[in-house]
Amino acid sequence: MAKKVFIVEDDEFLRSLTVKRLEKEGYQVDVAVDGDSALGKIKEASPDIILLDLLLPGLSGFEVLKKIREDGPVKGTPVIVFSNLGQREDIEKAKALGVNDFLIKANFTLDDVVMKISSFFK
Amino acid sequence: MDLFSLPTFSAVSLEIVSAIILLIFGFILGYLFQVKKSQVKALVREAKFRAGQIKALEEINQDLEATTRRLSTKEFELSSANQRLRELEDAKTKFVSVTTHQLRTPLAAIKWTFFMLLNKQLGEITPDQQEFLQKGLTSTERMIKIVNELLSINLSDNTSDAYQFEAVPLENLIKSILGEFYSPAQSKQISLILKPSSPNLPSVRADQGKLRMVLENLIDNAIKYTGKSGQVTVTIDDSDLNSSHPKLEVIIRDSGIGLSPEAKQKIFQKFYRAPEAVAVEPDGSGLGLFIAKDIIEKHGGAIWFESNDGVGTVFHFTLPLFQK
Repeated sequence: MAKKVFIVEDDEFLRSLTVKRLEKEGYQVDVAVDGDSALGKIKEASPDIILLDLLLPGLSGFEVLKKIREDGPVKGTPVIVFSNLGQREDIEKAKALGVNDFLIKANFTLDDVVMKISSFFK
Repeated sequence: MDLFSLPTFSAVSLEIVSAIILLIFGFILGYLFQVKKSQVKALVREAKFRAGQIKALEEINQDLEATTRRLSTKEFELSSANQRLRELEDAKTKFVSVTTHQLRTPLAAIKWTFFMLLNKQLGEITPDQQEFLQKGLTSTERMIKIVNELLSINLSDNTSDAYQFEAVPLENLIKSILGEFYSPAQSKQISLILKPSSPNLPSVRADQGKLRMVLENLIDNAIKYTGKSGQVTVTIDDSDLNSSHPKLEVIIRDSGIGLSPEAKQKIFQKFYRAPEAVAVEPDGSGLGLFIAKDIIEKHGGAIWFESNDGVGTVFHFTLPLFQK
């Protein structure tokens, strides 16, 4: 059974590249394109891992993360923040909200993301 | 002589005596009067002088009041100018950080695309295509590096609040960084050497991420500006462990193009790029060493260099030891 990855990413091009790369690795991928719709869709998809952007239309990634962690069925799902915000305070804030890992898009490649995701399923 | 004339004589002499007495009295009076007069004059002079002083004091007082008024106006102007400067500074910081974040998103997209194409995840490519894709990727990565530098310079303008100091084992850090540079060094047949240092070196007090930036920058420069078959050596000097401010010194020596007298003056300036460096690498940001100096100084260390045109450059920097 394919592992399910959920991507919250507003940039259309980045999203399609990521989806393409992950599907190539055999993952089942679901997406949300903004913060407001993310939580409902995540609950519906009940993914094995979540890739979360921080700067989003509507609810910010931080708020989505907070909501993921505070209630219900997806409370324990691993979340990797994948953003271009990368200041120390952003990272600290995300850590305090219970993120599992933090990658800065421009400094990593999709291969790194694939490696990171697969490390959660070992 | 007629005896009768005696009383006359005595009368005359009496008159003379009283005249003399009167005269003396008059002199005394006159003298006394004279004294009084000079005293009065002195008093008048004194009074005039005092009046003058009072007037001068009043004038000084008025001047002071005027100066105080001018000063408080100036103070107001200064504080509002200061306020404007602070707002400008905030706006600049915000502008740079927003721009750099916004720039990194499309840059990431380009980088990933190149990567996927190069790794043949989107199908086979010809050697020619591979070469050009590789060039595209290299340029994109250079641009990301510059954006990252701009972002860090923008932050370093602010404070050292963003620093998290901890005990960093310097030799391990340098080993791991040198690992990243073996392949670029190898492609220029440059030998990249870490001189063995004393066993059990104490840790330095540093922000690991920031220190990594400094070391990467210095080693990257050393390799970039050293010709084929040259040498880059890194040494950790521990000869200053027992002073009142114990520290470790890192020395990065290359056999590269060296620094011209002009470059020596300006090498740590923001955006400065030496002409000889531009000739080797046209696209640098001129920020690397500026940032390195800022970071080392925020650690309480020092950074300096020795160089001769054409003979190579030696960079030194010091870091205080970690104290529990």
